[in-house]
Amino acid sequence: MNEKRIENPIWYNEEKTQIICNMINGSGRFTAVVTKSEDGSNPDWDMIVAKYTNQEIDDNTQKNKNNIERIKNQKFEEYKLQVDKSQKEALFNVKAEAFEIDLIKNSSNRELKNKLRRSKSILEAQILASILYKEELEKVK
Amino acid sequence: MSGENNGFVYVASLSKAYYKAAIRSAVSLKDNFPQAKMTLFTHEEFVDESDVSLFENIITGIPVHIRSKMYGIARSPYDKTLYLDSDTEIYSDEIKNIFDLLEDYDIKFSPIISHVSKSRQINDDNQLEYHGGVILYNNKPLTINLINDWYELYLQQITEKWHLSKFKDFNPSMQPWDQFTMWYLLHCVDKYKQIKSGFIDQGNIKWNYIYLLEDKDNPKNDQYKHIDPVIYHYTIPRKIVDEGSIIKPPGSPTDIR
Repeated sequence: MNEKRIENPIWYNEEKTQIICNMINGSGRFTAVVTKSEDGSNPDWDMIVAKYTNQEIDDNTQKNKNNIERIKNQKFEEYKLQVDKSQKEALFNVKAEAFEIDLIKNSSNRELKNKLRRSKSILEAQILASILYKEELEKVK
Repeated sequence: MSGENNGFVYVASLSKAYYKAAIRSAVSLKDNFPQAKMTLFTHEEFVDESDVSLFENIITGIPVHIRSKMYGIARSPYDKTLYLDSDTEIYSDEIKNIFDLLEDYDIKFSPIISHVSKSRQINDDNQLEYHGGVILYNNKPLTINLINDWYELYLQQITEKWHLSKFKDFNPSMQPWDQFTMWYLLHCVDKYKQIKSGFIDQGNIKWNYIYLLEDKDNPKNDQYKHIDPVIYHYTIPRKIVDEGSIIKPPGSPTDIR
């Protein structure tokens, strides 16, 4: 029952003298780094190379690299989407708040108001809202 | 054109966020078309006094329902009407030409752009084509009947078991879509086969430019990048809709007649 098993061995260094793998024994499942010993006295290493060929470990290593790359890309895409969504919401809020200011809402400068509606960044929206506000404020004076 | 009483209809229900969006849209419409006549259908508790002068009419007491827009559409006081979703903005004074685009049609819609909408396959031969966010129509009795039936049939569509309903031969994924109800009425109900329907301006999407078309990373958007929108259609962030004084549907006022 306590027989040791090895799963998913992949190279841990470029020299291929270390392998990282899942090791399962009586106390559970854990990750282990197994190092090839000069005198051939590491039974775990012997067990791995007896079960897996170099080619199989190469293939596992490549598969693992691909997986890491895929997850990294996926995470990056999710992050980009989240940032994009947050920026869009922030831009929406800036424009909505600007048009709730009566001086801007009721301004007769249609051209600038249309520019504010079409603005694509928070900075642009803020600048245009400020110009409109100042312009209307001067009219009031 | 002369002597016609044409105008615009907005409907804002369920969340104050829709009301505020409708006000912004109405201000943008007035900026670009100062003579525009507008009617807003909404809930009394949403109305701010400072907005009243924007509209020719503000009609309250509308049903509390996600599709109460059909209630407002059917009750337009105008000869020719452009219904606009609340989350739209007018970007250009070309809007003043909109009523001429109805020509001799009874009702016109903007097209659904497939890559920015969910799958809309009705059956092997048909798919949804009409977008419900911008609708141009006349006030002939048959057109108004169509819109009233749209609401009633839609309620039936979303509440009945699909496989036991009159819609059972169509894709069950159509169940939540009011555009399907309109398609069904126009294509499967005899009395509405004489309704002349089509696309606004041959389907030119400047009349309902969906914000997702701005995404430069999507190569399918390339063909739309030179379009200068007249009507820009965004989506209010969900969080803002949810925060905006939601009126809970009581579940009863579904009969709008």
